[in-house]
Amino acid sequence: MSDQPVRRRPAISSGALAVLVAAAVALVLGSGAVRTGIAIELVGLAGVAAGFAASRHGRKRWGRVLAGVGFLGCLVGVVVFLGQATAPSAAIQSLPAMLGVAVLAAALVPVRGTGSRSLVKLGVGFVFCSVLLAGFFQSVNPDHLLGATAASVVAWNAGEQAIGLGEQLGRSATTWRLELVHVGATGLVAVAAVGGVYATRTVATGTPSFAGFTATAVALLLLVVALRP
Amino acid sequence: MTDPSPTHRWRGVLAVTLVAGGLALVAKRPALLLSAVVGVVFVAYARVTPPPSPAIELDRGLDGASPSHGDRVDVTTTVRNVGDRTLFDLRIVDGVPPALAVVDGTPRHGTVLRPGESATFSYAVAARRGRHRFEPATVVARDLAGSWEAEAQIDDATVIDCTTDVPAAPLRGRTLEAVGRVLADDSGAGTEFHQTREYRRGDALSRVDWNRYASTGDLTTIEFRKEQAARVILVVDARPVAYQAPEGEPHAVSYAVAAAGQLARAIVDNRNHVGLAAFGREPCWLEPGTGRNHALRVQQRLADHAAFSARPPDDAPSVADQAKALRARLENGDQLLVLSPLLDDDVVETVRRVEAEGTPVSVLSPDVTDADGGGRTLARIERDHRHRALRRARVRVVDWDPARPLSVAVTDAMGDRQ
Repeated sequence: MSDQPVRRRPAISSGALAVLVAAAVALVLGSGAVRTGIAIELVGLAGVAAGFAASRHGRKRWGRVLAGVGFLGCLVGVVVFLGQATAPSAAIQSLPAMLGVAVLAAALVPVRGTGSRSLVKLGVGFVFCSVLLAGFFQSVNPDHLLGATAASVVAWNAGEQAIGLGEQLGRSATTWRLELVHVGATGLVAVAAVGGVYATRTVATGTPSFAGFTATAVALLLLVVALRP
Repeated sequence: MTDPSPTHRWRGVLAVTLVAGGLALVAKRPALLLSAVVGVVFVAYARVTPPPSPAIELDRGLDGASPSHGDRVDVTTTVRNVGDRTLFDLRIVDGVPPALAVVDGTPRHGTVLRPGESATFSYAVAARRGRHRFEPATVVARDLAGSWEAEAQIDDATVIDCTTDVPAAPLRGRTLEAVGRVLADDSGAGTEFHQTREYRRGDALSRVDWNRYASTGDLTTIEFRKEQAARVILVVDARPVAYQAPEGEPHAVSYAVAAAGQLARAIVDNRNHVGLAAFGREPCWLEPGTGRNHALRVQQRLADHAAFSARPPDDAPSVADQAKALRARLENGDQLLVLSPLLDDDVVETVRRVEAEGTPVSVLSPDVTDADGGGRTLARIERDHRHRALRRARVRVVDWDPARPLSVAVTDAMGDRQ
């Protein structure tokens, strides 16, 4: 006698939130012209997800058509994105985020199996690469960079939570209360972190000396190591 | 209850924080350093949330604890946080009996519980013939950040009893096959009328047929059939091969275990002795006894003993060896009632040998083959062959379709023979 069949797919609300937050990060990091391409890609991804959902509900043909159209939409989005990028740095900076959102969506739809924690990490990792590149190229406002960093963590947290819930409880179990509290708490921490850093930066005047900057960075890294779980 | 263990899920954030901080240092990018600060806040958040210590009570309600085969049974499970701390992430997987299929809803639930608060979820299972005990519910609690996880098993000992009383067990008389009680052809003390004979000196007055004396004037004595208590050993076939079942249906062992419990009751109700043994992963032996309390002991053993577990064993000793060990325990005049789906030839061979060695054997065979599909049809034909082989060896075989009550199958089978 086998165990009861359970649809062990990632929880829908946390999964959708993860993809939306990651997409928002991609949009914030992209410059004006690039955003159109990213937006088209996101619509395409939504089409692919809807196609998979439809084929799982028995409408295989419609599902395939929707997924196919969505995939085409993604390709159009990438072409538009590459065509509109004003500088190579803008393309290099946003490309990982575009890829990351797609990988994250593939992990959480999920394209196959029960979803994959590694794909969630990879997807959010790509998005965070864009954040690092944006910080490196100094192409976005530092406040936006702060928000994008916090949002990346929130997206990863929600995606990982969605997969954990899917593995243990399956998609048909009622979990909204738990998801709301978990994501809400992470969101509050994100807001507190960004708010705290923003406030400190506003109070501080002038640019730090090289020695001061280095000391702060080293202290921060030591703190991270001390905090390791 | 296991101690909380770390999930290490925030390690990735720690790593990217280090990367961001390192890049900020190397490239001298203050904005990236600030991003790293955000990462540090998250890592600290994961560090400071205390591990959960779940204290939970579970209560399971059924809308009918004794349904019929195929009935829908609604199960309502309530979990209550009896601790003094909020459980921010509580996941419950109810222990649905392995033989039952969930037909509506899901036995899984995730919620947040404040101290004293309770959550209820419900689902429906389809009842199948037998006594089905719920397994312990698994509860997983995580802290707010998800960095600690504790697991607990909570048992409520709920049982879905989908059995009907069986009037008699299909036993073999030593001199006569008869319904239920094993009767001898000798007359003597008993309750069933056997014959009348001429009065002899010394016959008890209570046994004189006074009606006949009144009408004819002849003194006759009524004789009752002498009853002999039979010793019946129920043998459940719980070898790996017996755990087969059509898709989504209970396996033969669960049917056999349920039937054994019912038969034990019927056997002691008819004032016979019943014992219990198994062909399975480990030896099981319960000395024959009689009385309601002994029937309860048999049912307890069926519920507790590892040999009757609802999960199939990896391996089991050969059935011939187990039968030899069983034969060594039998007394002269004992009979066996083997509950086996007859899905292989070994058990047939063993039964025939035991019968040939002089121990009367009956076989109750739950039919778990399925009419659909080629392989299943073949299994059914092979099973019919085995039935015939056993009947040729003068073994009584009762074919039981678990969709019908056991009492009907037994009554039918005994009717055929009379």
